[in-house]
Amino acid sequence: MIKYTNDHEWVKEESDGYTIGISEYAIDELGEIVFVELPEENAEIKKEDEFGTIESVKTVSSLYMPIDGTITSINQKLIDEPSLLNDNAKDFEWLIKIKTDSKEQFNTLMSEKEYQDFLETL
Amino acid sequence: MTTQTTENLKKPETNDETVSQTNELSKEKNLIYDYSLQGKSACRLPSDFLPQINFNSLEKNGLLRTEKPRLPEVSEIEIVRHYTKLSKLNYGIDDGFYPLGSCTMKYNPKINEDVASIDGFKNAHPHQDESDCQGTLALLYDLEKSLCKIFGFSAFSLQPSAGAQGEYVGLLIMKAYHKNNKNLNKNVILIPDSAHGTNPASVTGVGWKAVNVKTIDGQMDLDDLKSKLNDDVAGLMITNPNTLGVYDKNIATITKLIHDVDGLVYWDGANANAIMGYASPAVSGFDICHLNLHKTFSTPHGGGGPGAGPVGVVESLIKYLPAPRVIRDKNGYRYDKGTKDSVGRVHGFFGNIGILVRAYTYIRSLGSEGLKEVSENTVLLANYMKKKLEPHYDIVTPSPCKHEFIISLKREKKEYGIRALDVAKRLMDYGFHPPTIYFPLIVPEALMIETPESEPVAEIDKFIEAMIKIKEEIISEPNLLHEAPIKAPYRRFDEARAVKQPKLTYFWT
Amino acid sequence: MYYSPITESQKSDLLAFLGKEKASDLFEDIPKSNRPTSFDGLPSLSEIDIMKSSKSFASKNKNSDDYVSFLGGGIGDHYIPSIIKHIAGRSEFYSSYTPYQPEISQGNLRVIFEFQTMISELMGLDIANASLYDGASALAEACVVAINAKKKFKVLVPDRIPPNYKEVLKTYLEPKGVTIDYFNSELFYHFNVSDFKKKISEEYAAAVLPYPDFFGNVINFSEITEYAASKNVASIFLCNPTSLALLTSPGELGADIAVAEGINLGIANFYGGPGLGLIAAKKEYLRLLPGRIVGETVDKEGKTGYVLTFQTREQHIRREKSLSNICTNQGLMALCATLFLSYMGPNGLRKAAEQCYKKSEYLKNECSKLKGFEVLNRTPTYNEFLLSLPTDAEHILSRLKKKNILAGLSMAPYYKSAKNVILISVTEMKSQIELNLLIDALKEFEEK
Repeated sequence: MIKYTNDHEWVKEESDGYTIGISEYAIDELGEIVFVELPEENAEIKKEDEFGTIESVKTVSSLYMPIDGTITSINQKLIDEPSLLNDNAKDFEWLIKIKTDSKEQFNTLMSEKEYQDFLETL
Repeated sequence: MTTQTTENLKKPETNDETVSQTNELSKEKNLIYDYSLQGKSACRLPSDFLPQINFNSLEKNGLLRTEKPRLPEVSEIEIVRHYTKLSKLNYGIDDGFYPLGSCTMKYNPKINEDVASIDGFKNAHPHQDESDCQGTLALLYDLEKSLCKIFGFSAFSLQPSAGAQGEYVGLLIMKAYHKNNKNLNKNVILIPDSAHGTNPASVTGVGWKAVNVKTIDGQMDLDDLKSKLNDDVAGLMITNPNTLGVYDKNIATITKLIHDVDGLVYWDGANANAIMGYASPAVSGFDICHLNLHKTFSTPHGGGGPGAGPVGVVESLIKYLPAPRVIRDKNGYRYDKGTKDSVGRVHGFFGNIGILVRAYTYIRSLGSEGLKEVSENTVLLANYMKKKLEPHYDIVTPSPCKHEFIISLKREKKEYGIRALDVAKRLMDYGFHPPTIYFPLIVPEALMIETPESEPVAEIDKFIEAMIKIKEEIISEPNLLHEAPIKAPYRRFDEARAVKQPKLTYFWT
Repeated sequence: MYYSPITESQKSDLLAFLGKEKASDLFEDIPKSNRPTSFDGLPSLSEIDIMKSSKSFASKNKNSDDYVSFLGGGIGDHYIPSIIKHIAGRSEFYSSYTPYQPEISQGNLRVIFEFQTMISELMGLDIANASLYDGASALAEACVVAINAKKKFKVLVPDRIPPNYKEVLKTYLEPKGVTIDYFNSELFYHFNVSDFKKKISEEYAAAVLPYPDFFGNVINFSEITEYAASKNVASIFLCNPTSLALLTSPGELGADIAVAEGINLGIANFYGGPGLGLIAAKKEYLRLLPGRIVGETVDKEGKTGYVLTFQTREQHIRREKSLSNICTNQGLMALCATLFLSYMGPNGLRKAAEQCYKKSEYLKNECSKLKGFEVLNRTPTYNEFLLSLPTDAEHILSRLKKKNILAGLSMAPYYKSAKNVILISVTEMKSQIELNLLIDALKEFEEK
């Protein structure tokens, strides 16, 4: 199952945790992405705290944790080739994988339908 | 400049004179290094009359440079031609209207340059005795007094090199004040969400935290402000009129609310051009301010500096100002070394004196009446243009605006896929410098238009005409805007490539 | 009003269009309680009167044309080629804004790209930015770069940087919670390299290495930089750019970052400002550098051009997370320096630097022959040196001033033990006659 935040992140439920990325809408808004900064593995980060930044030529966007979690893996390819995010925007190119004890936080996020409705209001 | 019609702005024609010329330029030599030829030199120095002295002692210590720095080897005429050519690829105020919001790109009077080139000012060494600098010191003293009169503050430090450095000094003054009052827990500066980026960056610079206050109907949201007031608040920084072009009517209430929690209020004077003679920040309750002399007082922007950012304070804060400051006593003018409370020095010497001389010349040219008229005319032009454009664009600034107003292209983006950037680039095709874009951050797809008083009405009308034509193009030929500029010396640049494959020097490897 | 292109009748028309009677109606939104009380009374002068009055102000100053001057201490009496005022005086340069719109700002952008190249070449480092306010703030910004790179909050600084620079460092760094440890030498003019080395430890983010220092000493810091690197301490060189045509570059000596006051690169003294802050660094510091940076790219048609780049470091984008609040550079001064360095070229700049050095050596030599005078520097120097006089410095300086010679800068205000010491600065501008004039004048004070 995939859910969304109003910071335009998607969170995908996996068998051993969650995978997190940013939505196609956000990638379109940013334009060509030139720099991605991701956290150290094993870092514990609370919901709504910053876990990284993503830069296009003229914007810096902070990435916020959608739920509490411990970083189990980061998408190393993006550090060397940030524009993969643009290239694979439709294919859910991921940023980080986490494990969490706060499953209930996941349930409160927006569904695909709710997120599409939210985009309409922007 | 002649008026350009939409017709001849449609397509880049390869046989067009301007385009083909610039094509050649870029194929030719871009940089002074491209003219370099070993053994060529422009420089003629007197001959060496000390041939007997060698460099052995440097060499022995490994201090004699063996590889020359790779500087260009060129003749004088090549330098003159190259840079004359480069100047023509630039756009300055003498070329046309510069509607950059919050930048106040007004005419730079020529006499300012002439006064600044008088040898007595220009060739003075900063370590000369004060008795040998009485002219400059007198001028600085009088400039400070004039600024006090115009804005109502009790004293100014003329040392800060730019507005951002002025902000930094202003915050240090707050810090020193709270330290003296043993208010050591204060560490929050409130900033409206419409503020310039330098404000929050300066707050971080002094080790404090910036907290945003919301804007509602173009003014500070008083309820949001009240909800953020507590004993941690060290002060508030605000631009008034703000970056939406609105004079915040509640400013006296706001300054009082901040004073009630023993905070200080900082006036970012970036938009001072709009209120001279009509509002005094000191009278409105502000404690500290900076001015941008390169905006309000006509000193040249220089392609990005040098500026000057004097900091003014009310009586009770004078002791915190950076030292030294010029004072006058029975023996003439001299530098006061400051008290133990001074926040210290921010310039290696006394500030950007060359800029201060120009600003002083401007103030003396205009006098009080002239400065008041400056504000009247910039506001008049802004309201005129705003009203003319209202039928065509969504303008978020309510009336009356001050010296600038904001257009939002949110609707055009949604309906036609046209963004603020596209309109900005298209304006170049009509011969104008674009306005400020994507600022303030709270307005989506913002175009921020300022109308300095030095613009003729005819120029303003031409800009209005261009904006209306562009609106027609947005609807009928949006592709023209995506392609723009087509008449400028260059087309749009690949800015992502500059980051992804950086080349930051000629010899970059 | 001066400079107003709007006639009274145009004004009335515009006001009528807005439904207003008079200009002041446009200010009704400003409450009465905000109105100024002190505003009126500044006179307006004609252009003729301003020029007369400005000349009268200026005539109360003396300057380098009135004296044979050996004043230095960061700013010297250097050559300014004629082309500079003619090119930098073109209003397409001086009246333009920051080049945010590259399609119509290639003039400024190319100048900055050339400038970055020339400064990084002089410093022997990979990158340079578009300039900072002045040398003093550049040194402070360099310390901030090192602090952010190393995530440590202490810097080690020898006492012998210019005194004003110490004050600026304090103003910039202390509010950020940074500790500045000064290294004092036992004898104020002597610098013990191995003692300094002992002070370097892993707790520091950076060591500042003045090259030359305030007293003119030029020291080979390669041993220090190597040791500092082993302790994860960045080496920041503070240099004089004109000297770098002659002296081994900071990069070659192991600098991580180098800064300088660039006013000596073709810019008028103007009583100390506007100056030109230079900063260069190794590539690895790129994302931490303050200020503007220009890079090469292509436009839509493939034409090579230049743009402001890595802008996400800067305050207008990163706001409170930006590592510096700097907005402007010193664009016009960077243009002057670029013109100067193009004009001088590698050979001219070297020749000028050699002349500075030789003339200084000549003076050192001649002064040493005078009874009661002593050159205090024990290391090589570039164009400045310390001279100990037989009597009180202020006394001798004021006597020489009566002969229209500014013999140097008294060290007495800065160092208690230096009552008799002056700093003499010699540049390529000085003729043999002028050098001998100083020596002859000093002879009067020889001990009998």
